[in-house]
Amino acid sequence: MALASRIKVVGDAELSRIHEATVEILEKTGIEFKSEEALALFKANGAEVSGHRVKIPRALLEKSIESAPSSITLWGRDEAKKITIGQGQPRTHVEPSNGCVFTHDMDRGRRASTMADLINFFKLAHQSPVCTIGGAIPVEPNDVPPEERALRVFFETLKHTDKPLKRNVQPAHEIEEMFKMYEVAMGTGYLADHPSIYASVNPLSPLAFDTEPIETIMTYARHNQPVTILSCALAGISAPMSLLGAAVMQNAEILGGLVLSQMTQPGAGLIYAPASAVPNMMNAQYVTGSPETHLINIVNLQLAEELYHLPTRTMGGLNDAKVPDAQSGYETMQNLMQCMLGGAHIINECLGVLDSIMTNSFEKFIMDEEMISRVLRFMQGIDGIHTDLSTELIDTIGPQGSFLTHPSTMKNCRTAWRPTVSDWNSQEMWEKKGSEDVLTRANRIVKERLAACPESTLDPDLEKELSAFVESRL
Amino acid sequence: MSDLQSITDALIAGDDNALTQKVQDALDAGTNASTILSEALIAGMDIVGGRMETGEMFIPEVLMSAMAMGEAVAILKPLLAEGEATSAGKVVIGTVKGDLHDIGKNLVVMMLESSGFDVTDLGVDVNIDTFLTTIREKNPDIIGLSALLTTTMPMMRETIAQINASGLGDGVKIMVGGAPVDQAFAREIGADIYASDAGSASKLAKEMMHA
Repeated sequence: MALASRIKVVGDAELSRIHEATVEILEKTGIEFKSEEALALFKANGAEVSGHRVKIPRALLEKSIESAPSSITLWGRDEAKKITIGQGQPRTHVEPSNGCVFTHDMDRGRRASTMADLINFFKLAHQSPVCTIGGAIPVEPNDVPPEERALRVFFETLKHTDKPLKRNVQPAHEIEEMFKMYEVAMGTGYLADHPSIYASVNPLSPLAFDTEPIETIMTYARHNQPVTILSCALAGISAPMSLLGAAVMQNAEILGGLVLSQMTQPGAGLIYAPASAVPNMMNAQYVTGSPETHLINIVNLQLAEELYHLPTRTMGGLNDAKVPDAQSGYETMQNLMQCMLGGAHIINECLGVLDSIMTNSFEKFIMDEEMISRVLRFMQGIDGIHTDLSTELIDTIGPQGSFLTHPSTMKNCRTAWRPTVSDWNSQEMWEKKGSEDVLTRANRIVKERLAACPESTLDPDLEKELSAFVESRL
Repeated sequence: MSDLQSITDALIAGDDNALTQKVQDALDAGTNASTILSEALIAGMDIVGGRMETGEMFIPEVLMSAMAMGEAVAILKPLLAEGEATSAGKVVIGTVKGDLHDIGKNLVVMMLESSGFDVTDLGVDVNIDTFLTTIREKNPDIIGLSALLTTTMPMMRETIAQINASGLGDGVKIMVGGAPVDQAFAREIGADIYASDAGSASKLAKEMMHA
């Protein structure tokens, strides 16, 4: 039995008011799309286009919501690792972090990230039992020339994981090249009937889409690959201060992207990703640990799941701490609880991330895995042996007896959740084992994991072929 | 030797039915009861103790092994020399006056018994006179005092003081344990052994006997 309820911020009546306000914004204010191709498509589908501004009529919006699927099957190169996203999925999916400039670890502190760091994050994600999705760019490889990064990073992605993949916005020609490379591994024509890679696309808040994000939406849709429209508007900066106002605006943005994807290819996978934030208004900078932030995003999760029946995703493990300290822990746990219990189908920015997505920490990755595993276990609710009301057993043991020595306890005592990095020893045992804090233990686990990880998940011949593919295009 | 190994395996698995059957089979096949006790059972409990310490075995599993051990020893006892099954030493144990908690103390009792100690368990809320009378009567090697409440910790101190004042403490080791107790407190009140859990209690008791 899963939990009887999830977190809801607003009631049904409020939800339809928010939807109606969104329709009004789309019909009256409209959204800017910086792409002639997209504008032509909107015009052909009956939208009012003036310059880059597109006013989306209710009928087109409703038809698009209707055609977007309520669940998506996403394939991994290892087909046993395929996942269902959306309706019917068994647990929250977890995606590696993305976009951090710096790498942090206990041994070397904070430094500009390199390809070696990126590969280590790929390896951790590949081995991680909580992480069901691979790819993304957990840290930027600053030592690789920018013009070579796309292909080199994708090569390392394929080399180090066979899970379903997440990617970022790219120009159309780069996406085409990447898909070709994927089909070198999986066979020509594979992607057409195997959604395997989704891209996260950001609107330019407020209410605009730039050229490359539009190319990404359209190119992915044409290849039957899903996209996730992730709005990250800042309340008071790129969205209204009002939390519901921000929810209305990001809803308009995400639905604008949805309409474009469905016009391009009806039925293309679309993952609704509300990830706006309440910033630090003292200096107007992005922060991620405010308890107000997910009052916005959970309203949007409600819209997507209750009104639109769409798969959802949000940035679930963010924090503003500069090092993996107590603040990083409590802000992360606050956000994980809110987002996961709010019903997000995928969480991202939740494995290692620090400092409002500027830094990725190896040790924090290990701590985050455990935090996510705690919430996943809680969300499983009461199931299996736990549904037994145990009246007979309670009667057998009686007052002052002990359940500890009953066979049913021995039989099930290993089914209870256990920590993977937290310390549950007594003070004495903890001292005996070296009085390690959680960071030190996490550091050790990182090293053990990396040492145990295979150097490649690719067959050697395929690896050579992919490597030759990359070199031929650089 | 293979029948001894299978006895040890059944003991570690906490499978009392299999264990008693295998012990009976070994006896029927002519294996000496004393050999079964020392080479299969006590050796097995040593492995269990080690695995408990490393966390490989969980407490409920250890307790199932300890209970199975009790059943196996009951089969062997008539065939052993007097006192052979409880030759590790004699212990008198109880939760001190004013404290009704016994889960932890009972675990200690089970672990001590399965390690071959002859244990007299006085139960909970044991007053000082009862301790003194029993010590006089049983002449134990070790006295175990347990407390869970911070409010009964002073009674632990008082009990030790009275045991020593009566002269009964000479040559007897006093072991204390319980959630609020630590090494520093144990030393301060004059206890000889502090055990933080049931596993270390039986281990420390054995070490004390061999010291």
